[in-house]
Amino acid sequence: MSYVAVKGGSAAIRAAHRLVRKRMRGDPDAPEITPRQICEQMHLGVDRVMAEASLYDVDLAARAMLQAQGDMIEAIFLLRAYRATLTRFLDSTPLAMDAMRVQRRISAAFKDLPGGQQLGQTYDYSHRLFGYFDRLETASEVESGKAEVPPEPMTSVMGLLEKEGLMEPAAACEPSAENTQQDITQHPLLFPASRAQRLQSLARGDEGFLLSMAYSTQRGYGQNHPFIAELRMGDVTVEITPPELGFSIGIGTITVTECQMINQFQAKSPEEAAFSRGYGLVFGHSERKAIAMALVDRALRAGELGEESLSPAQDEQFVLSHCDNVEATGFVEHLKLPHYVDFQSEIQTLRHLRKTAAKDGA
Amino acid sequence: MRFDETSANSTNLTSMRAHWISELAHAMFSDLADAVADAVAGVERWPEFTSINSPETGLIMVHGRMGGLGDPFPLGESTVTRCTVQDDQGYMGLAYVLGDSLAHAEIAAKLDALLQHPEWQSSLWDRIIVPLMILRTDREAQTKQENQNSRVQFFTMETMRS
Repeated sequence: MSYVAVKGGSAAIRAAHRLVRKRMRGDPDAPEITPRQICEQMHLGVDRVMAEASLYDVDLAARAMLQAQGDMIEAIFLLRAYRATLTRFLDSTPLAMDAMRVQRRISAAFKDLPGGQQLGQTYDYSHRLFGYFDRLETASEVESGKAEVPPEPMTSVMGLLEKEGLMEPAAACEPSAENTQQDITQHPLLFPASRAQRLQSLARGDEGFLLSMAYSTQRGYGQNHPFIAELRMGDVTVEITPPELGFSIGIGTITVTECQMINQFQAKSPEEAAFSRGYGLVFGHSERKAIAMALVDRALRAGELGEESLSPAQDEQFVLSHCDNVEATGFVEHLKLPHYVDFQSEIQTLRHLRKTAAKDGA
Repeated sequence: MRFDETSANSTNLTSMRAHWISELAHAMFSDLADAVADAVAGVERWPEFTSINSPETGLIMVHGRMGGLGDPFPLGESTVTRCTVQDDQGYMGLAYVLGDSLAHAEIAAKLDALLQHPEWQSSLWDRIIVPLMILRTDREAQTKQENQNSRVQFFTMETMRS
């Protein structure tokens, strides 16, 4: 309908792409960045590209960031395009989150929790000042006796609440699954979506979009009064069971961030009253996105939990149809393509309208 | 963990094989290359390998669980490289390695075949798998130790809520 095919311009297009090539490198006297440097020093950017491309590959994500000259959505697009050329071999066993090698684990709901809190690498509690981290020595000052206490296992906070009957069971959330085609990369997303499809969409959704949606729920548009039960970042082993072996093997490690959100309790009777869950799980280290995802996940459960859906964040069709930044940029940026015929028809209609109006007025 | 021949019955062999396949997949590529140099020294006659599936990069869908323990959902994909080889005595070696490294998968597949030879199993386990395991656990222990320095005990002020 809208844009049309055009011919010509191939020399100009080549010249334009050469300009990209030149600008991509910048001043040849400046040292060139290597993908390795991106991996090491811009790893949070790499993590974001992997999460939103929905493809975990650190090296490819770093190369994509370089080729896209730091344009994250372009880098994500590159990775998605590459992904489309690869064969899907297998599905992994669901990640064993309780076996995560935890780097960071905090709770905003309980100060004392089994296994304790561990800050890990965080900007929290830091001043936002240039050079703030430069003056710190990387070698740690081990406070005497502190690291000696063998820590107890980091038991899930949600599990403890669940045991006490104060939290809806993890397995209880869900079905409304008339829609059993779960993987949205294999089957188009239909509404109403299952929670699995919602979580998959959110996990690859645009961080900025999810952040705004999550923020809107906090500001009153679909309020759900959240507390972070647990926020964890660490490494988990990916396991598969190849049919040619028939037993499970570990094939590598990925870093993920998980957010378990406690939300307002509700029930038909006081005896049944229990907190409700929101869940966020994201590739790489991305706390902002994991928290936002947990908030939006909870907001999107409005229907299932018998709440009125009045706000954008509770509208699954609105959220899920607009959270993918590759789809969004495709449609928004396609406006750059030639719409000559389309526009000619519009302009003719308007001219005709004006002419007719002038005649009628005369 | 030393290789124990008395326990090498079939169940144990399966779990040993799962273990060495995982260890080979988790190894840093440079460590693996060193391990192969070692293996060459430890094996009198390096067998001829036929490629059954040459190394190929593809995808796996990584699944999470809703709420950490609930039903699974697709989290996102990861690149994975697989390779299958057969040696001249019929042992099939297989590798699946996370990421995009054809060389890693090929070496891992060959080592998997070699490790199935009863006469080489225990020496290769000790010479290759054990050192790789030590390197990996050391890496993990270092990360763990560094992060444990940031363990925290928060105290709430009673006066704040009064």
